[in-house]
Amino acid sequence: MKRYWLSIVLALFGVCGIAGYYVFGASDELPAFKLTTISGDPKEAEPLQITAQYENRIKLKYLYLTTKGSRYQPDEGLLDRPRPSWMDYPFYRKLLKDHRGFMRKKTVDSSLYVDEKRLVYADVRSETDRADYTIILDILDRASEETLHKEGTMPLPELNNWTIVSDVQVRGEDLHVLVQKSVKLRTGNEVRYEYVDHVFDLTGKHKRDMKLDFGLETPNNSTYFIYRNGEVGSSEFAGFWSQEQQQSEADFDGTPYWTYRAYTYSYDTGRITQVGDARLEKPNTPGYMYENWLEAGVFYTARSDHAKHSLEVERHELGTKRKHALTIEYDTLGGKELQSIRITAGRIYLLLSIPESEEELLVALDVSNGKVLYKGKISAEDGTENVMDVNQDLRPVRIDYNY
Amino acid sequence: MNRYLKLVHMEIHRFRYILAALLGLVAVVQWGALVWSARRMDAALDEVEKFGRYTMYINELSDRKISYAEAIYNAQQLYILSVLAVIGTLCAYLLFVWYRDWLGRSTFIYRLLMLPSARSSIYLSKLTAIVVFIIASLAFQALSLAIGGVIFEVLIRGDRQGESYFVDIVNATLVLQYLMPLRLGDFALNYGLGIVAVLVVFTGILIERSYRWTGIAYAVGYVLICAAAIVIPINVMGMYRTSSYLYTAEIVGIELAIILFVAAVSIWLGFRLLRRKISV
Repeated sequence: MKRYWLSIVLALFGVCGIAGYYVFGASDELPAFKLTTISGDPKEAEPLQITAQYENRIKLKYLYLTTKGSRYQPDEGLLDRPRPSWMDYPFYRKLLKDHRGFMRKKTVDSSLYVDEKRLVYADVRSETDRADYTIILDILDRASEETLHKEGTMPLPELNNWTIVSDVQVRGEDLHVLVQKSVKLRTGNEVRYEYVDHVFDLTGKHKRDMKLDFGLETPNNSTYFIYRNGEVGSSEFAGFWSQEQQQSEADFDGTPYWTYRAYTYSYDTGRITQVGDARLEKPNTPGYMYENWLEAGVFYTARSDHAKHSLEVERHELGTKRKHALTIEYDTLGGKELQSIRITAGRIYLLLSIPESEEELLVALDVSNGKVLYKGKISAEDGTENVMDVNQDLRPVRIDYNY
Repeated sequence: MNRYLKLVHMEIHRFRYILAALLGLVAVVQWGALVWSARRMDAALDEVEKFGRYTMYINELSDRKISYAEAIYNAQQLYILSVLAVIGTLCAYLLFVWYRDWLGRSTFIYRLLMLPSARSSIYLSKLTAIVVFIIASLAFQALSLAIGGVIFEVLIRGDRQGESYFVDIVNATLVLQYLMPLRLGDFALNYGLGIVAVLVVFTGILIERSYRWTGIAYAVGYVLICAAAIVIPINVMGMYRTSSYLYTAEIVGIELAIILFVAAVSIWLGFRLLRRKISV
């Protein structure tokens, strides 16, 4: 045995060294944070997840904060795949579990329609410079687990650049697939963006197409689809917002102004309606924020006024055409600058920086009347006194809602 | 078993001076680089305190503290070089561990093949020795980081020492992130794959030793086929695409089965060649 001491020592050293490395590594983690309540009902913050960046001159890491604690995004290993964030929502995890076979390859949430009776997934197969594209429909009857697969080729007057599915809705006996296309004009290298509502029946038979015309006057414009807040079930409306560059309206330094407009498209009537008034804005102002949401037949527009340290929220009930407006001043909430905003589930969630502090304030307000329902902040989980030191390295970037 | 352990010990014993030299190189280069980097940062802090002059090491955003992780980060090229020296030597020794037995006037392989025990022990002992060298080198790297932490604390006065987290120390050099991944699962996967690669290379060497000149082509072909068998399905199954037909667990399961199959074939073929085909 004595003869083999070198081998024994070397093997033991190796095993103990690596074990020690991982034991020590498990006990010395990056700082942990959580959302703590300052006032109001703590349940208001339970469905929220704050995405933040933690950076300390070595590496920037993303972490996810909830009322229960924080979780750092692990470094990518060989087994880590790119994965859309919506797949982590409890609702979609259940969907993946219940309909494992149907959900294969179905990774784009805007292509998926879910209600109590059926799941519909619409995909597009397109190639650049071809004068057509193919819509692929998969329909699952949730009761019988029967699936229907249909493909239909849509001709294009121009050449395809790219095509994506923006929304899928079932309205009565009609299945709507809203497609955004970028087409190359045959006259030159120019491209044009457009939306088309392809209507099928529930057996996948093509019925009609509806091209969406927003009537924008200038060629320098872009129209964006407003993706839904994890809404389940049928919705009559699709939301859009547009920005048009106004060459005639420019600052003394030549910085152009933009006109912002919001629209709804009714799947039932095929009508496009402007929501609220057009706004002339200078979008590159520091701290400027313009965001829109469409949820449960209500259209929300939020626009920050950096100079006044306030936020204007407009709430348009699309069915009754009633409009409510709110102005939220950050200093009345104890905040200074707006970091992030989200409107969902009848709440306005704001992430505000606190004056002369490295901490961030999370506020939940009732969207109907602006009443403050919850105030919380991000704290170090172990309650260390030098929270400010640790928080210097932390920068919240987004509020997510776990549907 | 006894014969196998004796062979393992013999292989370790043969490499002991090279291993000691490699670990010595790691210690000298990494600790030296740390001392150089920490002193340079400390001097830069002196300048900030005396003249308010910021440098690339201490900038205005700095909280006027330096951490162990930053000191490593600023000297990471030397850390990477020392680690690459070890990896390169171990890779070269993968070939040499076999070919040295054929070299020289009194060919040692005669004696090994004539041993009154299963020839598979020769294969397994060489594999075990390589694994021991790898884990010992990794353990020494971990120890080097721990001792480096002590050196840093000795060099830099207390009020200038910023906090260093384990994650930061590992992330301070690109090479440590891959060499000693933070998750134990990644470590097991990376080194499990590494061991399979060693098995494939060993079998390739035995193919060459069995068929000599034509064996070179067979060996290269075998290694390429094994590599393709592992890598191509990952792409075909779309492991790194979001829209693949298979779920992650299914792809991992299939890939694991392929890796185990490649390992089993390599071991079986290696044993068979050693038993029936090997020539001296």
